Amino acid sequence: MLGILAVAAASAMAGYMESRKLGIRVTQLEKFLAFLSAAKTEIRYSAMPVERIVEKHGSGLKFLVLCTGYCAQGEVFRDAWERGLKEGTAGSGLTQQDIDYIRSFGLGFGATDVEGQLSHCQLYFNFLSDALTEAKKEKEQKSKLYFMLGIFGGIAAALLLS
Amino acid sequence: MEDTNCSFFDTAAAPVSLRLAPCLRRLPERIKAKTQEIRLRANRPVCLSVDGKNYFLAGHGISTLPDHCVTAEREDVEDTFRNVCSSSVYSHQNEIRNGYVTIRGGHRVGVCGTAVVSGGKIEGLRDISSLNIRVARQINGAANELLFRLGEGIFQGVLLAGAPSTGKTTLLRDLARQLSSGVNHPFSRVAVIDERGELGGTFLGEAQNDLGNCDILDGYPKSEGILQAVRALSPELIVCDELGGERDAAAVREGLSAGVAMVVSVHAGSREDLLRRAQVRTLLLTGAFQTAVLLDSAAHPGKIKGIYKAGELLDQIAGNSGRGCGFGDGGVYGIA
Repeated sequence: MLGILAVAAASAMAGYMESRKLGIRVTQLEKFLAFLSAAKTEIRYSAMPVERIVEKHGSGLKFLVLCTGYCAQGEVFRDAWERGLKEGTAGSGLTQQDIDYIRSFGLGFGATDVEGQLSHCQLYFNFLSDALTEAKKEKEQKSKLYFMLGIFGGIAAALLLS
Repeated sequence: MEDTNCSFFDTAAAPVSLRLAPCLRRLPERIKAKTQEIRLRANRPVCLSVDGKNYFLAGHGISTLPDHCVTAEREDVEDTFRNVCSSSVYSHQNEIRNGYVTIRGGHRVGVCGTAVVSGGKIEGLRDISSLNIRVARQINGAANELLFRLGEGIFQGVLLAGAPSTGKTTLLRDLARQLSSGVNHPFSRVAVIDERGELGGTFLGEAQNDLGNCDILDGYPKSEGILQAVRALSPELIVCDELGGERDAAAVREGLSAGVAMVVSVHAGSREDLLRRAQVRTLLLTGAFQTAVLLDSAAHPGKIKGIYKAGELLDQIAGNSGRGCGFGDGGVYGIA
């Protein structure tokens, strides 16, 4: 009996986790878009170097926090960004395409003059805004579905096992 | 004027690309201690200026022949440039437009590439082709001779002249340090106008070079910095690197009327150069400088070649002018 309950609970949990992942992706994308907005402001008004922008405005995202740490250890910004992204996006809910956008943004971040950087930030803001819209839609449509699938899958498994 | 350790070289070479950095790190200490410049040109051998002479970087040292020397690839120049800008090109936009970037430690990196011109003005640079890292040195005691020979005359204004790499900045740095910390002279209120960050090497608001108890106006355009210092800091002496131009001269006049003494540097390789240069005359005519000090060659950085009274120089300039030697001959050479 206990085994059957455990199988049902595990299935429900899997459904819940999948549903939660969709929510996390939305949060992560919102935070990164907020970071891009802050970066644009800093670039335009204070010409703050990229490392300091990441340090100041990236505290809500694990990969940005890791990037700051690697920069502090003396790593070149581009490498630090890449490493932070590789190690800090596990379980973030971000899709491979989101990660590719963010990676590509990091490669050009800081590489041009003010106008170039503002355009660069805006370009990726647009890309990731679209991704956010899609993530929100997906969350709305699939979040409950995954959760319910998990529960019903669990019940079905329990019934079969009994 | 020689530094006793190689830390200046090492901090200057810090932004060099990962591929070339080990070759520079491996250089013997005696070479590092005398290196004045490191030059990286795309697809050309890496050059070093040591004791005023040019050499090529070889595997474990330097050579006068370019064969078997270390070549800087285009990627090396690009990587170094990115490191020089701390991966934030936009935050050095104005400096790049002016052809140089000052890095941590106050070292100046000259940047060469293709100019992007708009409306007759340089808007930026693209395709960076060469970089020249000038090793800035802090040498305590560099200004001893100047202080000894001029004494209180320092406070009657000094125009410090010399060709590039003759130690003007090093001398100014030590002078500011000594006067503001009471070494070899009673303590004075000194303001340093550090438009390019070369004197203090300020990083995140903290001077990397020891400037004693100076007030450092970092990044201020020289003329505005002088006025700001006069208005807000009531200094007894203002120290400023590479002055020139009418706006700067107007600010110097303002400072003079407020009773503030100035020690500034200008480019001039010889006494004849001093006499010929329009901006030297402009500065001397402000009346803010009683003395002009000419430094020796790049082979003897910081060594004083001659000390001249401003009045005598002006008389000579007037004489030369009468004989048809125009002040404009110096062109814009000295305007930094």
